[in-house]
Amino acid sequence: MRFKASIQNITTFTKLTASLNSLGPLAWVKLSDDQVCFTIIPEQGTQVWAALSIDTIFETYTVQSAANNVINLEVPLGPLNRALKSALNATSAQIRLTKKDNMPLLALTIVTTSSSNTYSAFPTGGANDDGFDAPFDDLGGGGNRETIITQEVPVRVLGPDVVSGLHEPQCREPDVHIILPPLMQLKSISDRFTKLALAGARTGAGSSAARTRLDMAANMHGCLKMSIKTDAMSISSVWTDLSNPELDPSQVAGGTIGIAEHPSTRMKLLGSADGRSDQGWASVRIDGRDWGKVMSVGRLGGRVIACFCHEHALILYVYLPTDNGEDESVLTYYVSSYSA
Amino acid sequence: MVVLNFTLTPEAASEIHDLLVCLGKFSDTVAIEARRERFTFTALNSSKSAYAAATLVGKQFFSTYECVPTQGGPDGRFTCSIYTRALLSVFKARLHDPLGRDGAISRCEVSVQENANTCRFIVKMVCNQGVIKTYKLTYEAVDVMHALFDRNMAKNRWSMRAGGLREYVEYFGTRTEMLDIFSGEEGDGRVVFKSFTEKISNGKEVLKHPLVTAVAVNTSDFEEFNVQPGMHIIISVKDFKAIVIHADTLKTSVKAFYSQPTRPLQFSYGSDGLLCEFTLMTSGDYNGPATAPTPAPQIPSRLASRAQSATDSRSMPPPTSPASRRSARRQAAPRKASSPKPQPDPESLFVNQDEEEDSRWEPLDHNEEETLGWDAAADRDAGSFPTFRDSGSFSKVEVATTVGADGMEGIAPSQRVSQVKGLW
Amino acid sequence: MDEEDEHPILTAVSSSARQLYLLLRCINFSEKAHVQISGEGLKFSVDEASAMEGSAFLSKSLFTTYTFRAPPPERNSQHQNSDSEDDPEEAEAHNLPTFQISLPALLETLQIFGLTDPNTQKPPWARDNPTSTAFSNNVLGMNNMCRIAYEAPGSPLTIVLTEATIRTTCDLTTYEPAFSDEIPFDRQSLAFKTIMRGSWLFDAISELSSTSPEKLTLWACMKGRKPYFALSSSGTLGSARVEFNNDPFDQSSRPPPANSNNPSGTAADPPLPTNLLETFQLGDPTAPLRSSYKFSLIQRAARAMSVATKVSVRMDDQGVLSLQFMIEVEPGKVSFVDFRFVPLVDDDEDEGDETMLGNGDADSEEGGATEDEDEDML
Repeated sequence: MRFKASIQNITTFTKLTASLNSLGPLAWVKLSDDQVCFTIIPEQGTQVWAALSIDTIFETYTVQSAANNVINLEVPLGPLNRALKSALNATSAQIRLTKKDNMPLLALTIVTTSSSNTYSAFPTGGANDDGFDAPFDDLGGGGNRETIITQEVPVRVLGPDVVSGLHEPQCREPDVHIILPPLMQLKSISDRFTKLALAGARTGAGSSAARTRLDMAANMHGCLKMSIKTDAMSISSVWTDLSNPELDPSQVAGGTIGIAEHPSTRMKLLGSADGRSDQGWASVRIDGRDWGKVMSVGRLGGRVIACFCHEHALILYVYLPTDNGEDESVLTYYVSSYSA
Repeated sequence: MVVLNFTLTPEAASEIHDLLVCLGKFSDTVAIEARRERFTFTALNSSKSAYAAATLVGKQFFSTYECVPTQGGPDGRFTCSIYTRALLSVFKARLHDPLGRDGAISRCEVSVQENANTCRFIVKMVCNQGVIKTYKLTYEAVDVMHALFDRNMAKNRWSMRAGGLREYVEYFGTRTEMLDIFSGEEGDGRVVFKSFTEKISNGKEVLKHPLVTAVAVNTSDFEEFNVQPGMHIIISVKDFKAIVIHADTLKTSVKAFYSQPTRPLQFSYGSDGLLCEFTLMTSGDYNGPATAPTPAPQIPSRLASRAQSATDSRSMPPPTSPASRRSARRQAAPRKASSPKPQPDPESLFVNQDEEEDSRWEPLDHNEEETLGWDAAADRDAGSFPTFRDSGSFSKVEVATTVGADGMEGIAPSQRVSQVKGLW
Repeated sequence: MDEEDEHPILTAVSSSARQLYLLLRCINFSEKAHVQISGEGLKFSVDEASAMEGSAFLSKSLFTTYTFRAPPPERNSQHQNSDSEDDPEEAEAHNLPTFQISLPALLETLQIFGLTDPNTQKPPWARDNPTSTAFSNNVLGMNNMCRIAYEAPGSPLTIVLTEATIRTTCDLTTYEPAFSDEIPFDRQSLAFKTIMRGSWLFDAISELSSTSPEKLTLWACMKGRKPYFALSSSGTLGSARVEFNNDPFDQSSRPPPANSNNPSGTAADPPLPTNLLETFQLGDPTAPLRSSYKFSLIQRAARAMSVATKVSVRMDDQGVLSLQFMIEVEPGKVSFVDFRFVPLVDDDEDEGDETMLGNGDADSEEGGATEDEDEDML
């Protein structure tokens, strides 16, 4: 079993691990010849199934194993994220699977250089007087220093039998699909809603999940609505002028006919573009705090399409920007929804 | 009645702040020892494995300094102990502000008021525009102890600018406990600073193990490096961090002196009338040739006389026991899924614009009990992917303040008392 | 009801939710706030255990449009008594719509689009991350258009905020008012009055809070011919005192009038304050004044202190403390937030404090203090 790669996009990898870590501390990482998959399955809350093209984060990538060159690992995301952060200013960073004391681990080897700067002589030397202009440009003192940092992230190797029972959720065709507004916007508003719900119900009864229940709805006329209700208030925000991407007949079962019969086609007949109509909304009820964790993916800056299955499910497809535009990297979020 | 009066410039008051922040990481109280010529803060941690002394030279550090101890003549001294927190509430950050904004002071006057009924440490911050803030802090008269460290015995020495060390510290995982300073084998030209935590080797717990971080540095990056090749010397990461961060505020270099593992190590640095010395107990493998017992250190008589006030424990135990041990032992107990959020270090080198931006993406902490914890599953069927049901949190690392009580356990004393005795 | 819908009691539009937020945040220490709507503006007030109260007045001048239609007078209501008829203002006051709302909910709503001060540094989202320009400069953090409406008695108070393509509507439940007596403050018989910068007071209170005190003691006297004002507190770690001395070379305070007729610190645009204490009046200049308040209550006003340009500190003969904060919501446009505090009954346990003032007539500036007997300490 062998895995080794240089990390070519440390920032993306760092942001990815940070986003995933907000949903769960452990990821199932599947390394194979053509892609890297990260899967988070928390006990409760949203699942993430992410499939990345190799070059989204790696280059000079090698993976070898007896099982079709597939390696399944269980990786603690916090330590991995921390390790990657220390590579943000690195000149190079490598990751490999290795063993120490018979324990598997992912070792990151990070090379950094920093320009040498020495202080004035020890122990005194008027450093106090000119404390503000530490001699950063002391070129006489040995030039650049190279430091090699090794970060060891403990992992577990998962056998094929362990992962064979894990399947990506299935869902019916959505009633409404819509491109979400910038997630920073959505997150800041939904965070306030959640805060309001918690504050408003501080004295009330009920489980905390019930208290932070957000209603999310969208129509096929570019509107997204988020609302929450407490004893003290009811509040809703409506976005208009969003876009509902056209379905691609080649991607829909039944092609053109499939599109004609697609639930979203019927939803187009209902509702209005100003978001004031009561009709044509596909809505779900989600937990505000869980949603806040999902929104954490915004840091990756991808385009996000939300698919609403009325009263059933909300699925987000987060498309990571790629350089070549060919191999798409997609994170799929299965947002859990309350039945009623 | 003792006379102790001194005045500080805003810059010096601000340095006192930085110093107290550092000492506060070792102990809840600082001891003060004032003599005619100098003023010393000392702190000893609760497990007595780390001792800090910061000496301020009367004429150099202060604008004015006057100390006339009640007795003892020229060698007399005034000693007391004050809560670090109390002093820090007086010596706040930003006392010195070049722009003279609110909170900045124009000078700081300190005096001691001691009579039959009261002991007051009085600090008067004179601000611009006629605002005067006066604090009267209670203190306790105590005897002050000093750790003695014989540099003649400490043949291993290195020195490096604090900024460099500070950089290395930033790479360390947040919850690691021990720091191994390893000087490479002969001709290797490398030194490795490795932060780690004692192994937890039972099954799933492995994934809760904190990062092991090794920073390999060229000996040429040191200002001085003269250490026996192949030597490992182990101290507490937390102590090292506190020292390095403080030294970096002075933009100075840190010197290390040590002999061998299980013997104390000393870090020393200073600038303009301020000298800091940290004496830390060490552990570690000693691979050198001197496996034969070392002779008890010879304490020069001058130092021995100073040691007379050391009335407390005479041993210096090894670094605080790894919290991992204790938490490993407690695994059986059910644990709430309260994932300890690593506090973002405001001074971290990693904090840049990007990071700040990044934090906006973190899920909002609603200060509510976590409902999505994985612990909920602990009693249920393991399912097809059992380890995904691990408790969501990593074992919580107690910080030093809780370490004290059982700080002695963990590492067996590896030193004969007769050897240690002379240290105090 | 139908007819009333056409004539809502209140319709007000502000071009800046931020201004309303800045003022209301100053009194955000209670779950519910009383709201009273009048032709002049909206008054929000909160109180705590009848020991303190705070109020913020959103004057109609803060709104671009402000339309108030008093609801038809209810029959049998109190305002028919003869006293009131003589006083039209009071008559009206009895008929003004009053109700309670959740103040935290209102505040969250007002800042739903974020409220970064446009004068501060570049907000994070305006930085070089093109993917996170969620709210371009004219969306998040800028002044949002905000519409407040109250249809009829019993209706919710409706707030509508609009930004570009986002519209947020919030219906705040209105609750029956719970009448409680105002803390009486007799501005005709002031024992003490001074005006100073809000930030000085803020700094002093934060300074004193480090001793974790239970009470705050306020001192005022003439020291020689110079005004002296100090705040002190003591806690487990020791005691602390912050004193304000006017610059020695400045003219001493005006002769204190026995009864001040100048009730508020509305003196707009005075010359640059060369003195810490702009005004300094003592009811009885010959006697040092001392009064104590619950520290935690005073701390409630910390937010107001931190944003106020000026604060007028007044104490009446009963020891009731009034803090009136002048807050500049935009350059040249001021609003006021008021606090009142009931004094603690002074016991004699810390009589020693008296000496902190030094001798009232001595000219020794600060020297006396260090030799004084100390206040209580644990």
